Amino acid sequence: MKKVLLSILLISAVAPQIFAQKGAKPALTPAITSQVFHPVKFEEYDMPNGLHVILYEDHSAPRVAVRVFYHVGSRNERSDRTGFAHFFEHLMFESTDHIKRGDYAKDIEAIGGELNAHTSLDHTFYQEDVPSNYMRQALWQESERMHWLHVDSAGVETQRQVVKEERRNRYENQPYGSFFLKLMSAVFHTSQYSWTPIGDAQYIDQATIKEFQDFYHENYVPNNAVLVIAGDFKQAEAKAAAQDYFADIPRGAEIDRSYTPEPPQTSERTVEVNEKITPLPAVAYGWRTVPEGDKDQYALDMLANVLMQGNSSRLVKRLKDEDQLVASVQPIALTLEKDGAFGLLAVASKGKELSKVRAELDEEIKKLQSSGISDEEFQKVRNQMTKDLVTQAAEMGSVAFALSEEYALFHDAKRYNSEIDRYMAVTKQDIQRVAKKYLTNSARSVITYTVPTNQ
Amino acid sequence: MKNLMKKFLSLAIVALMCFSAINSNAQVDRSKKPEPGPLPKSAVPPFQEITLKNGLRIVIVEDHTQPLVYFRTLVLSGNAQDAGSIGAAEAVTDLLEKGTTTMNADDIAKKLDFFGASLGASSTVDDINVSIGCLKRDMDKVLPIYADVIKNPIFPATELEKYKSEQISALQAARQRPGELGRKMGRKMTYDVHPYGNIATDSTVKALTVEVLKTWHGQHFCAKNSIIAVVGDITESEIKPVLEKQFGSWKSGMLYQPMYPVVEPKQGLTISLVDRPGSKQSTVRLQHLGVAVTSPDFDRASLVMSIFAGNGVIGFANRLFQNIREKHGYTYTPGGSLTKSVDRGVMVAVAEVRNSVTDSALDQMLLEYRRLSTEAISDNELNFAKGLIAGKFMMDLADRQNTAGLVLSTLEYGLPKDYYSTYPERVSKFTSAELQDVAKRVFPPNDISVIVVGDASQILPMLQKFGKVNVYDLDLKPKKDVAVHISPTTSVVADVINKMYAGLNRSEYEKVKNRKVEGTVTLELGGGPQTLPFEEITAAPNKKYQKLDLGAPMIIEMRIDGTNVYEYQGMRGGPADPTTAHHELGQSAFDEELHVTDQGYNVTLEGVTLVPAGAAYILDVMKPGGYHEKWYVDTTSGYITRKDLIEKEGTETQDYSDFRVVDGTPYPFKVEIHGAGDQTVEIKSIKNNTSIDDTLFMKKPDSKN
Repeated sequence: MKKVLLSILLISAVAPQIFAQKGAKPALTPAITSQVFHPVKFEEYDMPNGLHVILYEDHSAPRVAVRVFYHVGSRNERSDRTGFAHFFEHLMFESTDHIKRGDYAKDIEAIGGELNAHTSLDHTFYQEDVPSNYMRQALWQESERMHWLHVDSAGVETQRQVVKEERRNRYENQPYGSFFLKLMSAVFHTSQYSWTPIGDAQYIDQATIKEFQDFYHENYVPNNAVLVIAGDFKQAEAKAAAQDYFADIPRGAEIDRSYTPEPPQTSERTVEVNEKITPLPAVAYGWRTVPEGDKDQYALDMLANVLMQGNSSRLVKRLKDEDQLVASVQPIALTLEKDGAFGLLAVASKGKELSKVRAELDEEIKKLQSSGISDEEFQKVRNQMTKDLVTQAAEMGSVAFALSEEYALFHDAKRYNSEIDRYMAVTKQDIQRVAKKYLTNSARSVITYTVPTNQ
Repeated sequence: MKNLMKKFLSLAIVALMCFSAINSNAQVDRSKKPEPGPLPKSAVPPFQEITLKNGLRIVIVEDHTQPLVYFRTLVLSGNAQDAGSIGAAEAVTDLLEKGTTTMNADDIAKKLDFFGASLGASSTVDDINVSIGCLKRDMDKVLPIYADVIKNPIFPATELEKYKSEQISALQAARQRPGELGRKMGRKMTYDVHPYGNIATDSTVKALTVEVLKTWHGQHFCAKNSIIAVVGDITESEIKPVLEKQFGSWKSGMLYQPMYPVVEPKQGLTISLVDRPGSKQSTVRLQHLGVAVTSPDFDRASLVMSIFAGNGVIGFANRLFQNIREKHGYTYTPGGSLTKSVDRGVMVAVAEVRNSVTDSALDQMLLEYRRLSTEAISDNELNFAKGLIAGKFMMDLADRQNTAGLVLSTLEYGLPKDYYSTYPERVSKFTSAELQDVAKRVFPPNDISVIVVGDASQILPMLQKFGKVNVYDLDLKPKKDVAVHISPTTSVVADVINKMYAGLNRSEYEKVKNRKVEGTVTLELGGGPQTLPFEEITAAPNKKYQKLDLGAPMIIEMRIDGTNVYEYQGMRGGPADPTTAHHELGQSAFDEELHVTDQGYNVTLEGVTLVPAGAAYILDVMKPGGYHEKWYVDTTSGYITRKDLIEKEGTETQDYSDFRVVDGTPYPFKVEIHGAGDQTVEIKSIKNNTSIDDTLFMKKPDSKN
């Protein structure tokens, strides 16, 4: 039954990816932690057209992972054309000048490979995993869609329907599925983060083929991408293949990265959600925080652990275990390129009042703000962070993602190997300080889910 | 962990490829897909298997990527061993960390959380998995706690009570999850008394006791019934003494051997609809009984499944994805799998589609399902599938936890030692004819359970095109007579009346001037229901004779001559009382349904609802003489499937079913009447336009009051 409870918490397929991404950025300083962590060794270089290439060797199995990180997400969209970046995540599996419609995926599957992609608010990420002798094929395919993609009505029409189904499936037909969308639009009012990658169905319908083509030519260019080749290859071969397939793609125009900052929030915002399919009442809190890389981000991540990581964490222990008020309580710690959000989602137990849940949540947050955390709790969250970061560093796919993101955001992939220092630099006082600074009532957004009476 | 993909154990040796000859300035021909390099050679990644003195088997797989260690204990008993206490195995699993002989739940949580080591525990029908991972530096502190929760849990009563209320909340939440509803309904449909079909409910949860859990744990958690896998930054010599210390003294016990009742596949097409009001999508599920993992058909059936629906992985190339997503855009993530289990699992294909295409999507899914056994798989498709499986197998070598999973799976199912290492080679030899032969057994074209979770008010009429639909509520209990409001395709009463006329085949019906019907009536006469012979003769415009035979001299008759109603018991009787007469005269017009537009009936359309026969338009009918009725006209067939007779004394409902065509016109051969008393009329024969004795409609000349 654990699985059942967990899936209540699976908020949306976009959100968990974003959560995962936050965590997928581990590293430890070799000097301090050589017994705990093996630093990641990789090569990197720029191609003349601006494509940044990262080569990460791992010879444990005969496979190669090819990844392309495009620095374009939903925040690069116009507010009346939301959903574009995610729509491209679908179009990119359609046809190119040299790959027929339907063959893109088939050619990877035919060799037992896997392909996937995800879209966040700041980026899109394309993934191909193939047996190592097919590395050149995977690179050829990725290069084809970087420059020779067909953006035409055949692909657009089918994917319009599919994307609408995805929206219904993830956000409209699952209990609390709308949560991430509601949260973002409550916490952000003016910035490009007020909408999420799935976008509004109507805009994809309204957009013309020309608009999709323009979006493609602006954003899917080598100077806006990071190519990662990871796995079982020889460096010279990988470099030659990258050269063969990507060197002739022309550099694109500079990307417009303008961002409308969110003004400070001065009073609490409330949103009530009434959906027929809600089985148990739920409440979510959300606060704006800080962008990726800000030093408070690390303290906020640790604060989330103090509150909600494991059965001994404060909220889980009190609300779920001792008082049986909630079926689940789940953190949200979202760090974005230009801003951030922190919060939680608590689903009440059957027959329990949401007001009681809220009273205890508020009390626990206040307690933490006024008294801080114990030495033992502090050591615990340090251990948890270390273990999670090392675990992710053992996974080739996580490492590939983290390296490309570090490069795209900070032009410094090596930052990955020192990320742990930034967590270990957080003090007990920092955790209390960020709780006080960000988790205020006037800057809070509250989303409640009510249960229809006929259940 | 039955659904672990088969993995191939090997070590990569990439043959040297010479790329130095490539001039980086030379243009490649990008119109051609690059040729692959030489096939990497594979070998089994090293693993060790040891057995402790108490019979505990241990599998060790080294992985030195990072200084981490994972432990996974597989107990070879699962939910199917719940016997009389459904949910016992799961409760045991979930409560392991809620108290042992030496630590309470708080201590355990605190200690494990301190090292960032959370216990993973889950149960399937066949087994229980308990796992934990930690930094190697913390292993000596984490492992004793892990061993303690496996060996010495005490299931404290207070923790069990908390668990029960959590489970009840979880069941409540599950009532709204379409996937969960479909899975449960599927289990009900596929397995009768077989324990794979067990479903937890509030009452099974409430019935669990500490004693039951202790007994279950005592019987199944023991060295001989368990296997431990260790994966990570360790060597055999390092880990063996540690495990001996923690598990060497664990009681031996017995390897559990399940005995299951024989389960047979369901025959024919069945359609079950779980009504989920407000659903934005329909979850359409095809399900059929699968085969046990040890069956000689299993590997071939798995290959067929991967061609059909991807078999557990989201694929782009499988038929279902290409058809209902890429060609039609009905769905986002179609998929399917053939589950792997000790006894027969299930074949499932599932897609979540928007409400308006529920029927089209089901149509295509059935088409793809039926093609598996009725058409041969082409060589192209077969080679594609073989390439996919072989490549995937090699790729999965990357994860050493998968390696451990495969070794565990071989041991659990008693598969040959080389089962996985020879898997791609065996698959490469499968022929199209063999696959079709297996498909006929495992995917029989006409035997399939369709389970749909969705909003009945919107999709029921669509599903009825495929056959009879059984509707269930969110508790999976049969749902009859529940009024579900459907947005009608017309708001024009004339359209519905014309639909009714068309359904009745009005021009043929009008040729009928009298009708003789014979059958039985089943009714309650005190002392249980009785079935009695029954006869009815009716003639235009409004004459009627009915006879019910309770055995001479108890012959009950009713006669209507057009204006008067007479009732008789044998020779006794005469004019009916005014209330009865009024009621019966209202029902005496011959085939009145044909004449609503020309006999002064005042008809309005009220909407659409669900009656036992399916979705129907509701016509509100005011008849001359002050009779008020509601007629329910089936949205698909145009037949009248129900009438409500609304009278001062109450409403009588008549449900019509078993429509058969007589002389070109449909007639209900079964009528269920619910009013003052319940009656069921079943017709044996109908004769139209025979010569009839007109005196039968008249007053009996020699009767006595």
